[in-house]
Amino acid sequence: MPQAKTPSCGLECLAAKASTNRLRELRHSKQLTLDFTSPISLLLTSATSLRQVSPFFCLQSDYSTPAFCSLLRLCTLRVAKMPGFDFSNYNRNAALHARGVPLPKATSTGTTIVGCIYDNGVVIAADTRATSGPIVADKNCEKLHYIAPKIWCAGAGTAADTEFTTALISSNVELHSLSTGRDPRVITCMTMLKQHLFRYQGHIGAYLVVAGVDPTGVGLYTVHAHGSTDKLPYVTMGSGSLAAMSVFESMWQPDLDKEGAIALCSEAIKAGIFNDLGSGSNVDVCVIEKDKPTQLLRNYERPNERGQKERNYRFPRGTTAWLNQKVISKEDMKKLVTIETMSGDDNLTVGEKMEVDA
Amino acid sequence: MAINFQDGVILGADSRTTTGAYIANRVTDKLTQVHDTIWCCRSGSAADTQAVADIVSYHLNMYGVVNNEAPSTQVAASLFQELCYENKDALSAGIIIAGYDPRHGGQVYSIPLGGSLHKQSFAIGGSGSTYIYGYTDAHWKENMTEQEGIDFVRGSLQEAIKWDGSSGGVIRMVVLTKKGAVRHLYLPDTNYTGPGVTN
Repeated sequence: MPQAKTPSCGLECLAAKASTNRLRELRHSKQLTLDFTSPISLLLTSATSLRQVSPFFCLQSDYSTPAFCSLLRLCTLRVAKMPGFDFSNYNRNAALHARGVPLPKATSTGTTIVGCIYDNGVVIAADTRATSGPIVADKNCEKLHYIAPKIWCAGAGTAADTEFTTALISSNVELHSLSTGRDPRVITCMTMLKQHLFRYQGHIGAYLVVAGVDPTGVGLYTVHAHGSTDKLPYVTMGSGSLAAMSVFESMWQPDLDKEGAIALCSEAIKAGIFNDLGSGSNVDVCVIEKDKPTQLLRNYERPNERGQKERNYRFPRGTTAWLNQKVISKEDMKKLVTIETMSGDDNLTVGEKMEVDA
Repeated sequence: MAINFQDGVILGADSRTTTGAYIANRVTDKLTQVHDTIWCCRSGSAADTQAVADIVSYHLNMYGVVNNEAPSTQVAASLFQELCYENKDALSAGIIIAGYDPRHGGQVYSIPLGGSLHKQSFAIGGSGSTYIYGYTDAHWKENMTEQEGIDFVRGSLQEAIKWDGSSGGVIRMVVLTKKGAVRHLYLPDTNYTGPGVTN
């Protein structure tokens, strides 16, 4: 079944003022079925389909010109459904974007996340604000993700991407651990993450801090969306990373103990909460230590508790002075206005009915 | 950068990684081991060069196991070239490969952006390299001693760090000879002066 496709402004589009003969040839190649809605025969296809078709002439068209855009509207192309992924929407989206259509907004965690190693363990921490543009989408979200019992991950960037990426890698890490019969390693997890993110060339907007304890020792890494990684004794990421790093750079010491590391991470997150608009609300902490169960300290600190309001805007009864009072009974009211009682329950309850699993 | 000297090769690099105007890592290790005595200097995109080095490292280790013989520096350089050339549209990676093998001694190869491969007596690359073409040209000598080589690399990188805003931090070096790899570290606190040897 041939699938109709909107002619995309394919960047390498096969655009040709081809003669009818040429198009007939194409149609006979059986890979394409064409609909001509205009005498101006213009054939377009996305780069992915193009390779499958046949080596026809390619034109690098200036698809942004109004003339070309109008041509786009004139022609319709039907490309036979081929196996494999279809990336034609990518070209469509790129063209729409080039014409000024804004991208849909993702719930992004304008975030502060940090991590810090100490003598025999590692601490990671995060703020709990999720934003969608200028709106605070969630005041108390969780940015500390489970990978394995002793490997946890803090995520910044696109909320959905950090969530799904860590869930996928968590699953693969568990299978890998079951298959090898060994405890998972932090470096394994970090490598899986970087290879996954590199494959997607930064389109998966996950910026992560990976931390954990494994048989080889303590591990702490950052992974950027494009797939680069760093290994450091203390790390920060997200929009609040600058504020948090300033705390680490002025207060970090090489001989921290557990309490010191927790306090330092918490302080760094608070620097993000108070000085970065993208970060806010509470501090979540996760402590991973050798030979001890991992502790997730949800809302370890709540520096933004909403207090009782001291005053309110409700006016007490009698605030407005009045000169006289007249009480009109319902009977008297009927002389002044027409009162109609609506019949039928349906009309009355419109908007009040709750739809349950409609 | 990487240079040849009388006993082998020396690789050197600064330690700055930037994301825009922010220094994402001030103590980066841009000298990456891909086999026992084959190392590379990475410049360009961190993600791209790490991915390429990881792939090459995998192939070289397989080569070592399958052939029961360490790969030559040229084999490593060719692997890098293959990846950099075939994926040139998707990569932004400038890599210098330096290695020591008993058959050919020390060798230095450079792969700039387009994916071409050049065997050189010394190679410089990255954003800071433009500032030290004059310095390296004026100070270069064939068959230097180890100490002369170290001073040459350190002097060059010090100039690159001084003039290039995208370079900075510490100076890391790896000396590759028949004895194996020796790491050096020079800190700005001591104006990049010695001792330097760290292992």
